[in-house]
Amino acid sequence: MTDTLYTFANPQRFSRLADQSLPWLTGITLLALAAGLYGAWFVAPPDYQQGETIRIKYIHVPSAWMAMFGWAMMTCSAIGTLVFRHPLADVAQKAAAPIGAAFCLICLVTGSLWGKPMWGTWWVWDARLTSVLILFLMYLGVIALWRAIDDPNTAAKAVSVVTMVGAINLPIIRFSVDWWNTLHQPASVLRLDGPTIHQSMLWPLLVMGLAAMLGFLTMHVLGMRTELMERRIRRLSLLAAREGD
Amino acid sequence: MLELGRHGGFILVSYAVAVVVLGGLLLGTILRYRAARRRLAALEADARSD
Repeated sequence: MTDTLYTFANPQRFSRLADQSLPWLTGITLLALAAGLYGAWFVAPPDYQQGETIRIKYIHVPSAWMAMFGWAMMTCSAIGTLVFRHPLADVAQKAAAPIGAAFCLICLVTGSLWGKPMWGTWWVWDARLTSVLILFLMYLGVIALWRAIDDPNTAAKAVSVVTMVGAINLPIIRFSVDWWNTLHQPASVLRLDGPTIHQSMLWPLLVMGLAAMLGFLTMHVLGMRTELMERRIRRLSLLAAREGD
Repeated sequence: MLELGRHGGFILVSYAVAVVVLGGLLLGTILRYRAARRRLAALEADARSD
């Protein structure tokens, strides 16, 4: 596996692979999204209590999963940057941040839109909602930190440390509904004793989760390719400036 | 037409928010990529001509 990871360490090789894989990733993402939306709207039944409002789940839950996945990916990349000094680890980290932030924002907003008709309120300061809001603020902080430091290598080290410290929030989010008395419902899919939702709702949810994951990966590959180009532009610009002196 | 019930507006706005946020992110990434490609091509052409 280490050999495989270092096979992709060459930025030009990665860019070539990105160019080849992006059309396929895009196509598979769109197929999964179409299947997921069809399942969410036409296969899954309305909830016996919430009625049609349950359709929000098929956007809200996959977004939550991707918000947490994004930070987990950034944490693994941070380890790759600080410990293994993999050449593309910080590029992966930087590219993941805005995507994770976007999914986190969707999770928060759709959660409010779901909460208002169901709970009678747009927001409560319970453990789940508060910890996800903290995750969103952490994403914004990391994006700002990348922009605040000019040198990418210095920025990568600072962001990696912040990312690894922030990873403590992931188990807090996951287990908040178990550890504290929350308005947010407990887990109903990822449980030790199996999912508690009916198959007719579970499968469309899982397909939408797959579509969200594929969408994340597609945008991540595109973001990494762009970041590599921008770093090359920076290097060439610095060289040209030095030669001009 | 699928009947969305009395909270249909909340459902539609939720999906619209997802489309806007992810669509905006994707568009921004594509525009950034195209600008980088143009700038890189110009720099590499300058480097070759020197």
